[in-house]
Amino acid sequence: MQERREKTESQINTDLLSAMLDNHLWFWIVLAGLGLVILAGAAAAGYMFDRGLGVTGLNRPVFWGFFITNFVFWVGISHAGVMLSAILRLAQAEWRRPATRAAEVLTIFSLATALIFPLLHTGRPWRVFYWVGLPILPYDLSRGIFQNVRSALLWDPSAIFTYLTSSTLFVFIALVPDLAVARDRTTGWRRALYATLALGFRGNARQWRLQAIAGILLSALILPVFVSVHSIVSWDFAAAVSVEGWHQTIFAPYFVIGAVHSGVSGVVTAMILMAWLFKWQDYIRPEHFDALGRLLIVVATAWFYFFFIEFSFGLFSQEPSEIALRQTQVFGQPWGWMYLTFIMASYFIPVPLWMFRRVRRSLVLMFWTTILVNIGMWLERFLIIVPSLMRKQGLTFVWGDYNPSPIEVLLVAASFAVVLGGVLLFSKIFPLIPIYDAKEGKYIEAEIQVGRRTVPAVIREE
Amino acid sequence: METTSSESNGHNGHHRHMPEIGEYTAQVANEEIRAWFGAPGSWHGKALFVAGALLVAGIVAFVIRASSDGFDERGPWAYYAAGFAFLLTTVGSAPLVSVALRMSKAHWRRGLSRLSELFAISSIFMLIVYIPLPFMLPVVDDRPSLWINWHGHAPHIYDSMLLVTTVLCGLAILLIGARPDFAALKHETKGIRRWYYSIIGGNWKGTKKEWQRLRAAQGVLGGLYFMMLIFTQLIVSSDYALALIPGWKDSIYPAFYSLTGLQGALAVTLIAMFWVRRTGLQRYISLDQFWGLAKLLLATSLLWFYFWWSGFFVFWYGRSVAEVGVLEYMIKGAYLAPFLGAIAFSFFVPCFFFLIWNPIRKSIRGPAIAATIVMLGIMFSRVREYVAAFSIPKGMVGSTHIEGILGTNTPDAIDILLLLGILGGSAFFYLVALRIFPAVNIWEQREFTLLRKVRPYFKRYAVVLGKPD
Repeated sequence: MQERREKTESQINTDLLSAMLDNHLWFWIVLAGLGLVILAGAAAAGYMFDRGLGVTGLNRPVFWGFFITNFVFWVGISHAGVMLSAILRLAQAEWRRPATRAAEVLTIFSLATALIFPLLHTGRPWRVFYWVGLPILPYDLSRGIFQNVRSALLWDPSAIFTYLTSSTLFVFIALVPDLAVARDRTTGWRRALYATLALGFRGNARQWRLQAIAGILLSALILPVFVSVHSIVSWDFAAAVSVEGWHQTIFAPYFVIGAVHSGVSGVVTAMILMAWLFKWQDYIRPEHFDALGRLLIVVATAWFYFFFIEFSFGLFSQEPSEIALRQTQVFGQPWGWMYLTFIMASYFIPVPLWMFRRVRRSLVLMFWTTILVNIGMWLERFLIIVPSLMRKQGLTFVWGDYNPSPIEVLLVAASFAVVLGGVLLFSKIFPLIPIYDAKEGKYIEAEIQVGRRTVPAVIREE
Repeated sequence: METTSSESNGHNGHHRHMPEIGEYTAQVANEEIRAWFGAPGSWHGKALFVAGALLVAGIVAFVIRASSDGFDERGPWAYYAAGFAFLLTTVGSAPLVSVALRMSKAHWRRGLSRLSELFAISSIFMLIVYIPLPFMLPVVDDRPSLWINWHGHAPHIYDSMLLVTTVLCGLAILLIGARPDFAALKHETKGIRRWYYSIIGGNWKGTKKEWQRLRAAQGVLGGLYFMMLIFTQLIVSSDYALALIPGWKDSIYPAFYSLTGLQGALAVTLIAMFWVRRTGLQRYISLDQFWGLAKLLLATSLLWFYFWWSGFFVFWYGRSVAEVGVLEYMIKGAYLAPFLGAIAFSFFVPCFFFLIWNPIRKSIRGPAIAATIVMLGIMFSRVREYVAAFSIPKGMVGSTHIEGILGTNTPDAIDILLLLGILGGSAFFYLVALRIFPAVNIWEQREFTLLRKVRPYFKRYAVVLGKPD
C-alpha cells in the first residue's frame, strides 16, 4: 500500500539536495574512519607487493582464496543496479523510484572494487599488461604471446569493463535532470561542474522525451551485459574440469541469481542507511521495503532452487570423489559450521522472517536480515572456491589447507570501506535519490473510492 | 455500478480520447460472460469433434503399439514419452500463469486467469498418458539418480505421487477460484449443471470472511502448486531423460526443462486466449492481456537460449569422453534435426521475427502466432531429449559414456498418431472444461470494475488503477 506524503516540488528539491549542500559532522567522521581502513588496506597491499604473495595464506593447491572470493562477491553486489533500475523500470514498478540511484551507484563502486582484486591476486599488478597486451604496450605481442580468446579469464575483464561503462552511462543519463536542478541552486565550482554535466538541460518537452527514450533503451541494452558478467565469472570456475564441484552446467544462472539475491539485499541495507543518516523517511518508506522484501522472497527462493540443484547434481552421478567433496563441505571442519552459517544466513533465517509484513516494514529487521544475507553469500563463494581447490584432482600432488593471513583480511575490510566511502562521497556531490523521479511519482499517484474505503492508486496514461 | 460514461460527460472542451478499457460496468461483464458461457457457438461442437477424432486415433495407435511391441522395450515408446513430456511443459504447467500473475498482483491477469487454470482439466489427461511410463523406467541401482541409495522402485512411486499431487493442486486452484461464479450460476441452471454447481459453489454467500478465506486459499495453493510443479519437473526430467543417457550429467537441464514449462504455459494460454477471443469476449481478453503475456514470452524465449548456451558451453569446454559423446548424439549427430528445430522455433524465430518488434508484440495476432511457433519448438525439444533418452539400448544405461555411434529413432505412422492423439486428447479435455466453467472469471471482472476508473488527466484521459494491498 502506498503511504503518501504530500510534498511540494520545492520541498522535494530542498530535502533531496540536503545531503549535497548541507554539512553534517557525522559525514566527515565516518568518511575519516573509512579512509583509515582504506589506508590500512593500501599499506597491506604495498607490503604484499614488496614481499610477494608468500605473505598471504595462498599455497599449493589453494591458489584462489580471499581475493577471488571477494572479487566474486563484489561482482555479485553489482547486479543490484540493473535488477532494481532497469528491470523494474521496464516493468513500471512504482516502488522502484527511491531505490534506483542507490542501486546504480552501488553497482559502479562495487564493480570498480571487484576489479582491484584480480590485480591484487596477481601479486605483481603491473604485469597485467602481460595479460591484456594493449596495442599501445605491445610487450608480449612482440614476443609472440597472444591471449587465449577462448578463455573465460579473458572475457571476464571485458564483460566487467563493458558493464562498468554501461552502468556509468546509465547513472549519468538518469542524473542529467537532477544535475540541472543542482546547477540552478548552487554557486562557484559546484555550479560550473553541474552546468557542464547537465549538458544544457532545461526541461523542455523534447529533452524529457529524449531522456526517457535513452533510459528505456539503456535499460533494455544493459540487460544482456548484466547477465553476461556473472555468467562469465561463473565460467572461470565451470570451465575448470579438474576441480571437483566446479564443472557444472548450472553455474551461470546459479551465479547470476545469487548475485541478484546478494545485490538487492545490499541495496536494501544501503537504503536503510540513507533513510537513517539523511533523514529521508518521507521518501524511503516502509511500503518500499515491503515491496523489496517480497521481491527478495522470490529471488531468494529462486536462488535456493538453483543451489539445491547444484548440490544434488554433485551426487547425481554418485562418483566417490564428488560425494567426498560434498561431505567435506558439509561435515568437514572448519567448513561444516561455515556451511551451516551460510545456508541459515542466506535463506533459512531471512526468508521465513520476510514472510511477515511487519518484518518487511521494519527498517531495523530488514537492515539486519539483509546484512545476514550478504554474510551468507560471501561464505557461499568462499565455500565454492576453497574446499574444491583443496581436493583438486589430476596433476596435484599435494592436498593442502588454507588459512587467510591478516594481509588478506585487511584488504577485504578495505574493499568494504572503498565501496561505502565511494557511495558516501557520491552523496556529497550528486543526489542519491532521483529528484525528477520523486516528482514524477507524485504526479501519477492517485486515490479512488471503493465503497467506504479510499484505495491508493496509480495513473496509467492510455 | 457507474463507471466511465458519467465521468466522461463533464469534460472541459478538450478533444480527449476516451480509452476503451473503461467502458463497461460490472453488470455488463456479468451478462456478457454468462451469455458466452451459455452459448459459445457452433465452433465448439466442431472443435470438439476434431479433437475427439484425434484422441480416438491416438487410442487406436496406442493399442496397436502395445499389442505389437509390448512394454518391455523403451524404444518403441520414445515418441509417446516425448508427448507426455510435451504435455507436462505446456498444458501441465499452464495454471502457473494464473498463479504467478495473481501473486504479482497484475491487474491485467483477470481476463486470462480462468483460461490458464482450465488447463488443470487437461492435466487429468496428462496423468492418463503417464500411466504406462513408470513401468518402462529402470530401477535406480542401474543408473545415475537423484534418489541416492533409495533402492527398489523409488522413482516410480515418488515420481507418480508428485505428478498426481501437482495435478490435484492445479484442480484445487481452479475449483476454489470458481466457487463464487458457481454459486451465482447455480440459480440459473438446471439438471446436472445445477447439481455440480451446487456442490462446488456450496453455500457461498460472499461474506467478508469467505472472501478472505478464498484469497488465503488461493495464495497457499498457488505457492504449493508452484513448488510441486517445479519439483515434479525436476524429477521427471532427471529420471526420464538425464538418467537414461550415459554421460549426460547436466545440472542445468531440470531448470531448462522448467523454463520451457513456463514458456509453454505462456504459449498455450496465448493460443487459448486467441481462439476464445475470436468467438467473443473481446472486451475481457483484450490487447492488454496479449501484450502482457507477449512480453513474458519474449523474456522466456531469450532465457531459453541463455540456459541452453550455459549447458552447451560447459560441455563443449569440458570435452571429456562423456561430454563429447552427449554432444555428438544430441546436437551434432542423430538428433541434429530436432535440435535445429528446437533452437529455431523456441528461440530464434519467435524472438527475432515476432516478439522483439513492438508493433507485433502489442497486437493480438503476433503473440498468438509466436506462441504457436514456440509450441512447435517445445515439441522439437522434447523429441530431442526424450526420444534420444528412450532410444538408448538397455545395456548402455548406467554407463559412464555413450559407446559407438547411435542412430536416429525416426517416427513411424503409429508414433505420429500417438503424438496427434496426445495433442487431440488434451484439447478435447480443455474444450469440455470450457462448457463447465465460464471462460472468464466473472467475479474477478466485477472486482476489476471497482478498482479501475477513467479520469481526465491534463488534456487526455487516463486509467486509474486501485492498488488496495
